[in-house]
Amino acid sequence: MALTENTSIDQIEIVADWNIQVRQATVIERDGDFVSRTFHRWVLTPDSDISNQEQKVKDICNAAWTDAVKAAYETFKEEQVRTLP
Amino acid sequence: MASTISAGTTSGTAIAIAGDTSGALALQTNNGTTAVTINTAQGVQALNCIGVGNATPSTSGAGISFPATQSASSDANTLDDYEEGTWTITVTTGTSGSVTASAKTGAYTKVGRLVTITGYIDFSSVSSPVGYLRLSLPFTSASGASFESAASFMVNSVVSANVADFVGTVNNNAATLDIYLGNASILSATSANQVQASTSIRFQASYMV
Repeated sequence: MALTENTSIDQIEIVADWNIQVRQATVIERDGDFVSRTFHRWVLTPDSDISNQEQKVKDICNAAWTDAVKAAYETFKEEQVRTLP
Repeated sequence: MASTISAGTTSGTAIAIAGDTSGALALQTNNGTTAVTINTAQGVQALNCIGVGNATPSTSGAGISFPATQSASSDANTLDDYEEGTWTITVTTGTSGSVTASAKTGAYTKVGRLVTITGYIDFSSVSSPVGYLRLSLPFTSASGASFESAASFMVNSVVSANVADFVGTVNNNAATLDIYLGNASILSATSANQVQASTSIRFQASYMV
C-alpha cells in the first residue's frame, strides 16, 4: 500500500478584473485511488508581490494586469478610502 | 404486480424499471450490496456519497460531492458548490507603516455563494503602523454595498484602546476585510495604530460572492 501526496495549483480565476484567485490542491492517493483532497487559497491584486508565485500564476497576472486594469484598480482603491464608514 | 423493465412505455421515459409493490427498488453492486434504494414514500437513499456535476463521489464518509470547479447555477433554489479549505492571510495597514505576524491562519467553508471564514493572527513586530488594518480573504466578495457584511473580533493586548471596540467590514467587490475602531459616534480608521508586538486577533465573518 503506497500513499502519495501531490500539491499543485489547480485553479486560477480572474474576478472583478484585477483579483487573481489562486487555489492550491493537495491530493492524497492510496495505490492510485483517490483518498482525500484539501485546498489552500490566496488572492493577488495588482499591488501584490508575485515574485514568489509559480510561473503560470505570474503569466496570468501579467496578462490580466494591463495598464488600464492597474489604473482601474488604483481608482477602486481610492474610492474605497473615500467611502470608508 | 411483479417487477418490470419496460422501454418507452411512459411518456418521456426511455427505460423504466419498476419495483414490486411490496418493496423499494434497489440498485446493487456486484457483491450484492445495495448502493441506492428508491422508494416512493422515502425517496432516494444512497449508501455513501453522491456525486453531482459528474464529480467522482468521495470514498470518505457519506455526503454530496461537488465538482472541484464550481458549475454555477443561476437558479436560486439550486445548491451548486461546496468547498472547505485554508487561505493565506496578508495584513496591511491603511495609511503607513507595517505589521508582521508570527502566526496567522484562516479557514473557510463555501456553501453556494456564502463564504464563512475564521482565523487568527498573532503579531510579532510592528513598524509605526497607521490607519486601518486590512486582511486578505480567500474569495472576492460580490459587488454592491449590500454585500458589505460585518465581521466580529476578539482582540487582545493592544496599545491603549478598549479591546471590545474593534469592528470590521468585508469590502464589496474585493477580497479584503477592514478593521476599524468603534469607540465614538463614527468609526475611526486607526486600528493599525493599536497593534503592538503582543497583539492577537481572532475573527469570524460571513460574506457573499
